[in-house]
Amino acid sequence: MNQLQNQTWVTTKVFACSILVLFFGAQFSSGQSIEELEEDAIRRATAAAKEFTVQIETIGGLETIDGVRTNVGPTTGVSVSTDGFVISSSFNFVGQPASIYVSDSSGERKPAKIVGRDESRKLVLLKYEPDGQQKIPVAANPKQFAVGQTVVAAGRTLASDNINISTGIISATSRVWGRAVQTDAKISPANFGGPLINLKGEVVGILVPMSPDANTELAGIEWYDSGIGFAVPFADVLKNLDQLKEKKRLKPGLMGISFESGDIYAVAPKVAMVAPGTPVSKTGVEIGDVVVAVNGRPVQRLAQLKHIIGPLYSGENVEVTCVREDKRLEFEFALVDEVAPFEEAMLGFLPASGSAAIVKAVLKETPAEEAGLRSDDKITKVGERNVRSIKDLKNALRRIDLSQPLTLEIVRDEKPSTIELQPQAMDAQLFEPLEKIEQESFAKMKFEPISIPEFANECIAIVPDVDMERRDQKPNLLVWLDEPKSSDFERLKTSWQEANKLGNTIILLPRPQKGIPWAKTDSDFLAKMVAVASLRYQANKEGIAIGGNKTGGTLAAITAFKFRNVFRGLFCVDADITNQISSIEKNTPRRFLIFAGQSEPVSTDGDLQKFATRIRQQKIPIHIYPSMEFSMQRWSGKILSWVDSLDRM
Amino acid sequence: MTRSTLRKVVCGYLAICLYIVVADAIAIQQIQSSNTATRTAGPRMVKIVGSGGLKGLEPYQSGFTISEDGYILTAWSYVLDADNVSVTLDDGQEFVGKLRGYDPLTEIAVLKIEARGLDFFDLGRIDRAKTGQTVYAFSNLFNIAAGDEAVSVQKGVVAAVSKLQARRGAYDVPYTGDVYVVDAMTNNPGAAGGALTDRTGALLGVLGKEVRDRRNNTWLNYAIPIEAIASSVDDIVTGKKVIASPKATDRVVPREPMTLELLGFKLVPSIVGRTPPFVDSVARDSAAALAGLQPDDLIVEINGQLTPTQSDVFKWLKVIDRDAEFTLTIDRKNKFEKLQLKLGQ
Repeated sequence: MNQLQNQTWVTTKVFACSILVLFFGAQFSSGQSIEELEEDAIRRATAAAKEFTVQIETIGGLETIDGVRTNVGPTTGVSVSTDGFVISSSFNFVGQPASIYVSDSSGERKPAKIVGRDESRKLVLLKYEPDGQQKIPVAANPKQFAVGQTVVAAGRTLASDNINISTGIISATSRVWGRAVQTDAKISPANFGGPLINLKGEVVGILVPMSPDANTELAGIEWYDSGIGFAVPFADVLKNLDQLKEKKRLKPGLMGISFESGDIYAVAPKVAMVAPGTPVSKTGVEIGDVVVAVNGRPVQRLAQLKHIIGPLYSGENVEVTCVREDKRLEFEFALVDEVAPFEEAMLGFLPASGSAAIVKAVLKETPAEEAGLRSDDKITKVGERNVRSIKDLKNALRRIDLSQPLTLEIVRDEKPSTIELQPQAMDAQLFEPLEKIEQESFAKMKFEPISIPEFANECIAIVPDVDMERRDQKPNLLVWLDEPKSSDFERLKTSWQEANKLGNTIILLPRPQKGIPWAKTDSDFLAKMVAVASLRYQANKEGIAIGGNKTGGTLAAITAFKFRNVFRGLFCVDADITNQISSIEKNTPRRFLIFAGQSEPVSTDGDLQKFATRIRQQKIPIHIYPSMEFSMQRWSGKILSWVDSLDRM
Repeated sequence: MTRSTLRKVVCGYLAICLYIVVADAIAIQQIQSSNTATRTAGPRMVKIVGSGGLKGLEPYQSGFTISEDGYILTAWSYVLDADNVSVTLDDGQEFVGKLRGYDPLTEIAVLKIEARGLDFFDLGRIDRAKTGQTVYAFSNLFNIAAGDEAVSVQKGVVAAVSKLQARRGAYDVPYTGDVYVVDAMTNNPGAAGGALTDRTGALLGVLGKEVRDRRNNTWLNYAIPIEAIASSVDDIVTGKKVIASPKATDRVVPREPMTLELLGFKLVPSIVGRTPPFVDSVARDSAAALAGLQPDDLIVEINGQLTPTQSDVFKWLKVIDRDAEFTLTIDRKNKFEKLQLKLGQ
């Protein structure tokens, strides 16, 4: 290139740039400010929304739900067909109104009916008979959703002749486990059920209250007008419209698998339980398998799996890749809408410590006793499943059908043999072993204080005076909370010390802050204390229990239900558990046995019995012990052997 | 320096220049428009401190000047219930405000301070806004601005122009006229009495007190339009009235209104507040029977007004003269029918 050419080239560039500058300059000096341009764009985008955004009014229904006053005013919907189908938020109908009316752009009220419900996206499909063809919106392409793009939320609630709007941006896509886009426009009952519109006038989504943590109809309502709002992508709504029109109720899809608990952003999805009777239980997915891919998308952590399953409905098929002992296995099964609570089976024996599947002791009045199982029997097969270790045995027992007789293959005195028995449901009561368990006993105990820096509570641990490392069995841990009003701490210490002859259990005796009764907030202290003690004494994680008397028992129950992943047993006496436990975590694969004693006889319609019914619905074993003559001297030994039998099978 | 490097440098320089010019043009335009509003309205805003002090009864609110000689428009509230109400101008000058009058319907009040040569909003000029229009809300919400600090400015759009149907606690707010509902969060302590302007700083309304929407129980962010208060303010400033009387409601209550007994039908017993107005029984040969009303019909509208509850039925019947003909819309097996009713036919 010679110099002349080069100069020409540069001149051309300068010229082109100047033109551009002039062009843009002219644009901005024409009198239209950015805000005016934006206002114009919003006006154009929302003009069409008036045609397809309808007002919904209801008559009758509940006035409050969970203490929240339901809407009495109008709510919003979006026309999705020319012949009168309208999509709206299910929030607008939580009060179960007697009658529903739709007013479209004609301004006249028309009776409407709920046709279908989408419980996953919290939407409702209505149908009314319009005069003439209704205008319907175009769906924005979800692939083009851009965080930061301007959007307008519309409702038709504040004025009947016009829509009400709020502007904002898309804050995030694929929220609430892949079900919604997030916006900072103000979303509230004033526009739930209405459209979120982009500047082209296309519908990005339908506005709904949502929460990533809960799926109830009112979840997320507390975030109204906060700058955190959600909309179900309209393209997804249209995809399922035909199913909703067929009067279907779409429900979130569940795999029927429980995964080992932990931080969902850290732990791998390792199968802890497969719910019997679900499609997945008929495939070969086994406890201990690790899911590495779902529908062809790789998965390393539990949260990623939730993102993939979140948007799916029950009835949809998923392809799951699992890894088992370095082998990759492919499974395909349908998602379900409900998983019955898992019911654990019990045969009636205690396993020996160690890794082999050996019977330590048979329990009285159980199927195992009836079938003639004996101590030292080695179990080699449960039903069709081979058993090589105690872990295999646990997994096999988790998958048996309670209604069917079960065949066990055992080795007794080095000879194989077969036992047939009828398994029963797990029972939380205090079973006596058939024969006395022979064990070395430790008469000597020492007392060690445990304190947690940020708490004022005190705690004494009763620890067998022996080198823990030398024992073949990890110790159990029992937290006992006495009633502070009548507590004689020295006597309490003595009775536990005397009862703990076998020395299998470390007993923790915490006390409330001086002169103060137990408080609900003490449960955090107790959880921390258990964490510290179980680390210090290398406790057996399957043998951690909490118990107490009167208000101590109440706090024990509160703590056990709050920290379900820590405690395997709850033993309470004369505690007010009924009124303190409101929510019961469902379908956790962890064992949790409850023994509830009471000085009074138990009436069939009493609070405790009602509570027990609720607990049993979740298939959590609870044993009620009425007319209990409780004293520490009489019961401490029994409580310790109950704790020692938490690993019953 | 070789020629090609020079070329690169020149091109890069030009690209940067172009970018700066265009980006600046955009940024400057944006800054200028909010500047216009702030430059115009800012100096007219005042901070008011009076009685109160408990949580939920914060002792401060907002206001603005409406005359050159010290008239201040603000919200009528407990804050003004003090002997000495302090009024701080935008430049930090502090005055004692004297209450000149108030309007209990729109809940606005006028104060007077001894000052001259003030910049002010002229209430003689009335500007209106439409849904979707950009607006700025000026107020001392949460008492963040102290002394000579300027009040806080929030930006939003007019969400709707709507009739106010609000309650404060269990009590209905008296004003039921049009308000500007905005999507900026103005519903906060101290914001009442602030100014809502368009982007040029032209006054649109007075920010209202903290209330909830009666229909959906959400907190409302709203301003009362200037046209709804201008005449009351004028009456107070000119000394015609101290308590500007609420305007007569446009609903004229007839001396002898319509009743269910006259029409000859009964509603089902009202058990809860929201019992729907289902017809229980219709007297033979009554006006209701002649019009075709039947037991189990659900009354949906009276003259086009929705009647979701039984009390709504009574409310709308009360405004119908007993000699007048009216339309009853009923829902019979999910189909609407319109019945014409008149007594003595």
